[in-house]
Amino acid sequence: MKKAEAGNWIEKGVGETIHHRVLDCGLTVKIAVKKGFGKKYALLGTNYGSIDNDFSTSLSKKRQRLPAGIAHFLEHKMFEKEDGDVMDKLAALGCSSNAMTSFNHTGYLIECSERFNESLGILVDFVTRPWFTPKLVDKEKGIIAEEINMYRDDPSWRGYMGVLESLYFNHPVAVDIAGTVESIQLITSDDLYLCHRTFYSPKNMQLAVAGDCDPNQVCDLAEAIISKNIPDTVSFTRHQKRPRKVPKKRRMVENMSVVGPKLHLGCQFDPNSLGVTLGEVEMCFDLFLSSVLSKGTDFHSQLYRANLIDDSFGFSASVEREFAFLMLAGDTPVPEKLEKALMEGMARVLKEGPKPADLRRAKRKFYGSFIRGLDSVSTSCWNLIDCHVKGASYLGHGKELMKMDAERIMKTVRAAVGSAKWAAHIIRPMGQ
Amino acid sequence: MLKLVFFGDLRGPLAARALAAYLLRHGHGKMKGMDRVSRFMQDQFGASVGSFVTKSFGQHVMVLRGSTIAADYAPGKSDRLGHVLGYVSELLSDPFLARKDFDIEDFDREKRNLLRAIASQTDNKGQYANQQMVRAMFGDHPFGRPAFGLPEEVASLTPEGVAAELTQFVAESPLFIYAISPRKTSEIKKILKAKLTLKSRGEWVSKTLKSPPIRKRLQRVSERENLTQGRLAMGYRVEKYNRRNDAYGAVLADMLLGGVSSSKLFREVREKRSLAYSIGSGMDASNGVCAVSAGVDVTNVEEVVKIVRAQVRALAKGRFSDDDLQPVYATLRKHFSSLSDSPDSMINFHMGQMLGGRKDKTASSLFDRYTSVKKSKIANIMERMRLDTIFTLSPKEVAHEES
Repeated sequence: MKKAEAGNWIEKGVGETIHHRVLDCGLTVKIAVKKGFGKKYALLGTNYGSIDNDFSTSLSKKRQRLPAGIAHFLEHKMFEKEDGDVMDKLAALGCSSNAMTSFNHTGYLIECSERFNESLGILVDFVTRPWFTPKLVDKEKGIIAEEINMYRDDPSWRGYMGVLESLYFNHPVAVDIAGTVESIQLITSDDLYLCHRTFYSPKNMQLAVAGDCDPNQVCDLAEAIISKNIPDTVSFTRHQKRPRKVPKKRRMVENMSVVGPKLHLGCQFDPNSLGVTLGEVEMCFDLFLSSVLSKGTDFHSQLYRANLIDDSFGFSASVEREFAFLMLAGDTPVPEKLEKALMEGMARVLKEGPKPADLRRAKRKFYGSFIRGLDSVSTSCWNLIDCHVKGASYLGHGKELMKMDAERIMKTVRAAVGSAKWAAHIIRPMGQ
Repeated sequence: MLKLVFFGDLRGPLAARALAAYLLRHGHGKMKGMDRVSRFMQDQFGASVGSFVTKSFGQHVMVLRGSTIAADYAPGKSDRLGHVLGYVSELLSDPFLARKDFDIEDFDREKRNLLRAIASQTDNKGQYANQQMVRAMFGDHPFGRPAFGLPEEVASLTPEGVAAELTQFVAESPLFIYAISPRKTSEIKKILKAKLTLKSRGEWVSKTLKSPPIRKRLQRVSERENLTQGRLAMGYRVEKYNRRNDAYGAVLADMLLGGVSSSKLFREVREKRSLAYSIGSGMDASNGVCAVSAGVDVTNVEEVVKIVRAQVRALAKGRFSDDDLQPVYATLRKHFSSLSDSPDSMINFHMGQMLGGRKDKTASSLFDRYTSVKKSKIANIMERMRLDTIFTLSPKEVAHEES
């Protein structure tokens, strides 16, 4: 890694070159130059998501408490401008576009193979230049209500959210990212302007680009547009309660139109109290879960041979700036029995730690996954932003994970979830 | 990446092939059991060898896909391709499932897994609506058969029957082998020849089934479930469809109608009327079947049906401009110019060429074929689109309980 000046440097390794820059306007830029690639991808994101609806800004003394789902609503409305839909303009250039809102991030992306600079200019411009009218805001409510309804019918999403509702009952992570059909009715165009002004400031945003492109051109373009669209930065304070350590309900049961029962089981922890970066916390949990629960491990084999799990079984660790949780989930004919087996098994592996051979394989598996991710322009961009936010090295990821040992992993894992309280959400077919 | 694609008739034993694809996960005679296979793959830096069945180009297809990282990027630069190819070769010549010591419990467990996979397809309501629409549209014709077969077919399978079907399928069915690697082509060919010992099958002959006649009167099918949102699936068929003459025009017609984000349906149904969050269409260019699907409030279903039909009529009358076609061409251009970024895309391109009987060697010459389709041809395809089946899934009340 060669540092040129504070904030700006070039990172090289595993056949990749990454340009790290911080522009004068405050925007963080990460560019993976991939010579010979046909596709180019850009992701412009802001550290603003569904949990950020209670805040104060330097614009007024009033504390702002806005309806659930406003970050996602704002993401939808950013595409519409006085002169038409931005998606159509980009499509005419052969550029596909999309956007995604999570609990704490909103990202706008484009993907194209030609006329990249033109498309990038449109992306940076439309994300930093809001335009809303009350009429168009009202019109969007019908579309988003249908999106909310669509997720309501998705049993996997319901199970996932069901666990979060129990774990985070006093925290906005418990509320669906899109809000509710009722909450979105309360959103106004003034609310959207306020949120955009507060959270879409360059210091709170990042741009990641991957493909065969010129880093200087990318930076000059972004700087010129943002300086014109956003004259000054607004400071803000988030007001969020700390999640309680004990879930509201240890087990919830919901009936849905499904063919068989499903179990989601999760626990939450504070990722900022562990004395290591968020990137390392995430790596520890990825390696731990994979080395104790992947196919080929004793724990997985026992559950599989006892017919408690099938191919649908999966696990994940979500480690974010403000919260973190583990989730284990799958279809099972006997959810209570699986819940018991998972709880007992987790207690055992937390005490014993992974077997050396299982940990070695988990490291090799993640190393391969890291290398494969470099072949994808979209994965590269999302990982660049993720590593930046979590204080992790991007190209150093492979080496870092190969260096991890069981002691280091288990120290973090035990401190995080050694005494965590778990919550289960069971989905059963109607009438059961 | 290595991909072996076996083609079979849709009238054949679909369930046996589907179960065989599941059972192949248990390895070969020298590496017995799923746990051992999983550990071996993880050791190859997360290599994967997977098998599955699907329907494609009017055929039943079994895909065996293996991938690993290139030697240059593996710590110690150790070669992994040979290991993975060796594994695939053993898997095809000596699958554990065909051995006598294959555990009957594993056979029964995989059977249950497949049955659960078939049943759980109904949990994705959009997918379920489309499936039901296709089944209603084709009835007993093989085009209507699900790729995994029917539950009763799966239930009656025996280890001997599945092993026999797999052996015959691997030995006799048309097979395409694709390998993509940073190595030289001659080197890859040498490794493939040394590691994969498969019988030659002669020239590829397309054996696509004939489509059944188009229904004279529109068929409406509906079901009710405990849902929040209604699901709509509309099945169109292109009359007198000829794959050789119509395929390019059919793809363009579908993209204009509902295949891209600036499509007629996306604009009219979602952006102008706010009637749906998701609406789109998809064309099976091998047999001229176009499916329109949407998630809508059940009270708006009839309005959406009206809009879709009106848009099809408008396109049939040639009411679309060069501006409408621009994003369609641009999307295709982007797709074709970035094929080399993804091994899967490259393989799909070459497979499409082979199966479609096309002669284009490069993506740019194929792209030229699309741009040379006249607007009148697109309108003509739309004019021949006949609405065959409408399937609706409507909600009942949803219940909650706590414990």
